[in-house]
Amino acid sequence: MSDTNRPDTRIAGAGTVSGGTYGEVVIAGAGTVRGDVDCLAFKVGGVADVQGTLSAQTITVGGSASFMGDVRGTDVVFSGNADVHGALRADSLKISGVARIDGAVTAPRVEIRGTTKIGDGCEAETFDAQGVFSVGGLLNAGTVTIRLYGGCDAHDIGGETIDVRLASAWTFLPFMGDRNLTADSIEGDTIYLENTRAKVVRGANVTIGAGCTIDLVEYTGTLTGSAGVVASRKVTAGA
Amino acid sequence: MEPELISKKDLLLTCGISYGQLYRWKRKGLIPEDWFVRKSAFTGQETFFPREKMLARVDRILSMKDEDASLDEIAEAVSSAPLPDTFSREELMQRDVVSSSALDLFAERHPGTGELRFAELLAVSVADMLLRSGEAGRDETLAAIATLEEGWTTCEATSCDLVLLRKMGVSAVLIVSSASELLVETDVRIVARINLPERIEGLKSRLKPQERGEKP
Repeated sequence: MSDTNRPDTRIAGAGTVSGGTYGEVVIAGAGTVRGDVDCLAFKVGGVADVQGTLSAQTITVGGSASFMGDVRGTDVVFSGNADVHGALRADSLKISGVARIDGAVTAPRVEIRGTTKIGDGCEAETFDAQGVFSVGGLLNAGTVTIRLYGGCDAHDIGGETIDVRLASAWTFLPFMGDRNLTADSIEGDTIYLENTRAKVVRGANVTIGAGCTIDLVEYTGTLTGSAGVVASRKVTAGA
Repeated sequence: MEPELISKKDLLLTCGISYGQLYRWKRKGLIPEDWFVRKSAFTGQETFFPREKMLARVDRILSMKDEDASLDEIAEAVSSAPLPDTFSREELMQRDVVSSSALDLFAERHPGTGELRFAELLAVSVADMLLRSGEAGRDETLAAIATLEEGWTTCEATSCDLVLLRKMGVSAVLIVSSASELLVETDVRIVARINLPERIEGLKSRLKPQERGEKP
């Protein structure tokens, strides 16, 4: 994808890339990026330290990368170890390794298969997590699908469809410890919960499955199951 | 002057909308972040909204949805970014955005002004409101325009009120933050207090739908 305005650059041993506009940036050894980078593809196989913001179409981290500023991409795949100190904005974000994002995450599609810690909120159309995650702010997504493999938490969860279940039994991972979701409040239209601890759950149609501890459920349509629910209340107009 | 609040639960019941819709609108930026007021209630943390603003906004979103506008189009219409365009006198008169007397007053202060920028239009619109109320005189209205123009660069119009005070026939114009309460001595009368964000919203809603309608 070489072109005169967007030269490619590659670090195979140890080296430094200065900020600027590139075609493809590949860091296979140990590389430092000084300044803000705008490129088409950013690939890390080794160890990268990006000391600015990154804007790219595709971002792939298979090795280990640390980003000092914001990260913005169309397709972002973190399969190694990624550390973002700013915010992350993408069309699609896939995490199968270990990722930490200090700021907010905004991406229509978020797929988590590894371990992820988001310091601020997370906004998505579909949020699909089969792994371990923590969201420091509000997790706001059209469809939230969570399969519990370990301890997950979000400050609050809001959306249209929220579906939380224990990961299927054949995935036997005894060393993962407690497998549950913790949140202050969970609000949505259709809610299904298993192994969830929450102070309040509000929605239209709420189903409470096994292993939940919920202080209060407020619903406008139906409530199915009540094991572990301390109090529940049907909310109607004029009440 | 803390605005009256409405709880999220009451809002949903009153407007007949769902949690899912509200969260979707939030993601699309249809509801400003600072309208979400978190307060502790007996059930723990609850979210409240400024009642009037929020009800008006939900109304607007729902009515635009009836016209089949996409959420992105609605987002553009309600966004707080100022309109980049300028507006001609004829256009404003024709759409009945502001009265001709308010425009004349502005033209008197700035002879030879053709197209108005949005900031100038805001000043004219505030002048229009003062004139229409019948409470403010010509000179007071001119003073209001001048104050807005000076204040434009120093204060954030998105969260300020313009206040007109009068004591024993002598008037004064000030710009204060929307949230602040005014304590005045007994002889002072608050002739008008105009919320600028509301004016901005009002202007935008007046200008926007017709613009869309004119597109082929």
